[in-house]
Amino acid sequence: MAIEQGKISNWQALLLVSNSILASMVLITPALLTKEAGQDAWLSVLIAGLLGYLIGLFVVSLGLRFPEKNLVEYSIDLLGPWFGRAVCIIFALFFLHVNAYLVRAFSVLLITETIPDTPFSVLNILLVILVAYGVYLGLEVFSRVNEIIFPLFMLAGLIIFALAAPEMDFEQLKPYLTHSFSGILWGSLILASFYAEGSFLLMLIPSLRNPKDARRIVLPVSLILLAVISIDVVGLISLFGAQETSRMLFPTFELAKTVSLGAFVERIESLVVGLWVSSVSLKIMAFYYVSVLILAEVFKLKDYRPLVLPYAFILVVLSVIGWEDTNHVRFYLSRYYPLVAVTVMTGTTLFLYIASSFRRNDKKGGETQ
Amino acid sequence: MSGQFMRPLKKPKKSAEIRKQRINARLEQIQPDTELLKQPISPVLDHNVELFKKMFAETSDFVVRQFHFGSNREIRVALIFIDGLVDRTSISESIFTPFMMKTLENGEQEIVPQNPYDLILNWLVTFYSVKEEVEIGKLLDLLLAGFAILFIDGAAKALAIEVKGWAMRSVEEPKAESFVRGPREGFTETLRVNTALIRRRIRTPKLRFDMLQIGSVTKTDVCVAYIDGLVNPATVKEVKQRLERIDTDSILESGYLEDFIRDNYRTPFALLDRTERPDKVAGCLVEGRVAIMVDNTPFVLIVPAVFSGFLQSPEDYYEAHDYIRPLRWVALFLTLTLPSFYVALTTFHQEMIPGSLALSMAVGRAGVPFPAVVEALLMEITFDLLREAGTRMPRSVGQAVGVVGALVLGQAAVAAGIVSPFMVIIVALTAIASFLIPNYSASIAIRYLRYPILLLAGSFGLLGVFWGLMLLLLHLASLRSFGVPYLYPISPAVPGEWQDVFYRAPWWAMDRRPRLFRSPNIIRQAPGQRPEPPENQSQAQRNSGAQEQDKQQHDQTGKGQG
Repeated sequence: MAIEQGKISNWQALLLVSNSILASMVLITPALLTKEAGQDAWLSVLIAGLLGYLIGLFVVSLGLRFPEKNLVEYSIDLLGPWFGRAVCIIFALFFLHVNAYLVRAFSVLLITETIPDTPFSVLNILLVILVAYGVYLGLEVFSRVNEIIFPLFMLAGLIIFALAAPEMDFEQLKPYLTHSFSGILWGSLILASFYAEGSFLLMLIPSLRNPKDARRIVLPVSLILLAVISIDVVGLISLFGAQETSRMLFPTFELAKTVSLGAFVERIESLVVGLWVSSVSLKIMAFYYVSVLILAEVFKLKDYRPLVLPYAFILVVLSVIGWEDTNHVRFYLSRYYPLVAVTVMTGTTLFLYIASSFRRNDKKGGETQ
Repeated sequence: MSGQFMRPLKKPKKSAEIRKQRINARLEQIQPDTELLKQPISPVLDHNVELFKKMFAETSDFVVRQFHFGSNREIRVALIFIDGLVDRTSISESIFTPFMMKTLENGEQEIVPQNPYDLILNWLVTFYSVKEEVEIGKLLDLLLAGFAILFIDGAAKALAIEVKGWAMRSVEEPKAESFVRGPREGFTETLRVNTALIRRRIRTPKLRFDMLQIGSVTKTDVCVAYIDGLVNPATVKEVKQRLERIDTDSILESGYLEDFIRDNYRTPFALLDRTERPDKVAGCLVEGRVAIMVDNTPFVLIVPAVFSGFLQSPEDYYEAHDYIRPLRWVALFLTLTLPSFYVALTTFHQEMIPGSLALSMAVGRAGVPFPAVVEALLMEITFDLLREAGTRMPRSVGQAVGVVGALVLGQAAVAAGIVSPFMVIIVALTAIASFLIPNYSASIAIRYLRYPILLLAGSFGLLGVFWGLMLLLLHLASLRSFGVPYLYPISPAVPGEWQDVFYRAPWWAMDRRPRLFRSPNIIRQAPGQRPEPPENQSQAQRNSGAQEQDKQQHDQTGKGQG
């Protein structure tokens, strides 16, 4: 009874998950990490990488217990029609909220960096139009676009870091391990909360061409994320130093400002913003799609498309009224968001996992009797 | 869905049926009586002639020629044809001459009135292609296709003699796609000539030309061409289904069909490829695609089409593999975005322009009264006006338009201070880049998409440009042409086929057909045909066994000669 939807290849899923975690992580987290762990942020990154890998394995193994069904169907099977739906709605609302902060972060970035005179609600609406169009076209379409955009995004990032490399001073990473372990752990929790966003894959596992092989995308995704975020954090610390990085709003973006090639290519940050628009819009599309799909399944609609437009309105309003100003967004991200994300995402997944284990034991018991 | 209190969204079925009946009744008014058309002709000559005369009602090009022949002039026949569609010399040589002269001269030949039909068929009609027909409707179709119809008094069958012949253009070099290297033949307006042009290139009995007739009034011949065994049967079936669904009165050009059979009409992009070059059609057929040829137009449709195909020109495959493909991709990008990038940089992101350049730009723009967006729009629209005028004008006037455009609008606008010289450079570069796209339809689509992106650049800077490109990419990714994703093989990514997309690999490297057309026979040629330099000494020693054999053979032949 699942809603008719396109199929995506595992390669597309791999890129989609990577992009969906990375697009905001690469821009937002270095400042938060260096604030908590200073120049030892790389340790947080490593710990978070391990955590992320475990979260990924855990999410996929839950999904693979029901490879033919999506999240809504098996939560209803496991928890009953009411409670199962409630859990799914939590998922959908969480992604709505993630989207809201992403849209807001997007306009914050644009206003502070490139077009300061534009009201941010206009930018929010602009982004949401693009995203809603992508979601309307469907999973297959935006996965395919992501297949083009994500490699380009990675390539552009690498080039920018390579160009900035001459300015870097790796001495800034010293002294090692001077920060408290709790700070480092909190930092890795912040990062892990971004990894936990990857659990939107739960809803996509039945749309994979080979759901059985879903486990095989976890390791590549974790490695890509670990590599990118390590280069990001290490590069930033050695370029700006931990202190200065932690004070910046979007340090990765500041890095693009320092790039200079032959006195001709300079100040390419607007170009970076442009690229980031495509990347982050794909991220929002994925979450948007998942939450709309969950809602459609929960309310037994034949198609998710009627929900796209109302969701867009809610998203714009939430992104505008959700946070007072830029500082509020930043404070929220560093203090509350990790807890919310880890609790909701990992908590719900864990809950479903345990429930499914019980059910499985019940069945086994029944069979032996 | 429709609840008790909701007005039903669709009208009841009954009224839809009544409406359909009404439409059908109207359509039938322009048709001859369908019942009549299915009937056989009568043995009485006068009935048949009257029938056809009534159908054509005094039309000037409808000719009836009645005459008697036989030793006693007792056999009556009537010949009807459409003047202008038949070859006059063939008619007089193969019909009138034998009928009127032979029967007079051959006194010994018994003209038996009991069986004049066989006599005529076997002795008198000296033309190679003759059909026997009974049904009125079929005779009518043949008559309109250029056959001459011979009615014989007393026979319930008529003879249709294929004396087709009309004024037609000869095979010429195609105007819209011109090459440096490659065959110079182009399609003509006559379907049979066009099929022959393809058949000459592909000499296999598996090349099929399946005919259809579309258009209730025009009855246009449409031909679906494919190579059996290389094409996916499902594609052919789908093409035929879509063509058969068309119910319209006229098909005057393949563009009519294009609108009916494309997958998505809400897109500026061409979802079918079209060409007037037989070599391109032959190439596409061998790739496992299907061509749709329409009578009366040199333009042939090719399905399925992919976006990257619009950057491929058949000439790429004739010249040595080169850098033109990457250049075209750059040109595509420039056509789409160059004015927008200029506007975005000068309006919003001046910091990105290197200092000295920014300075000279500012000097150039000093007296210009408009913001950069307006300036760009002005120039782009002017250029499109000029180009459109130049394309449709008679050739002699077209040159004048070029002069007016270059001198008056370009130079004078700068001198008058309406636009900056930089803007003129940008517009000229964009225009030239747009000519690099080999496919005219694709070039038009890209040209028109420039405008929204330009407006976005003027409103939001680079953000707007990327926003627009992203929207465009999403749209492109959502398109399909006969089931094939439009962006294939870029996305879904098939890196193995990029050798024919971003550059053109040498022929020996492309040993597989593109997978997207789902050909059942994917292997194109034997692998490993890369030409190697002549073997050097050490390799020759390794292959000494083979060489010895050669030597022996050589010796033997030498002895034989001695």
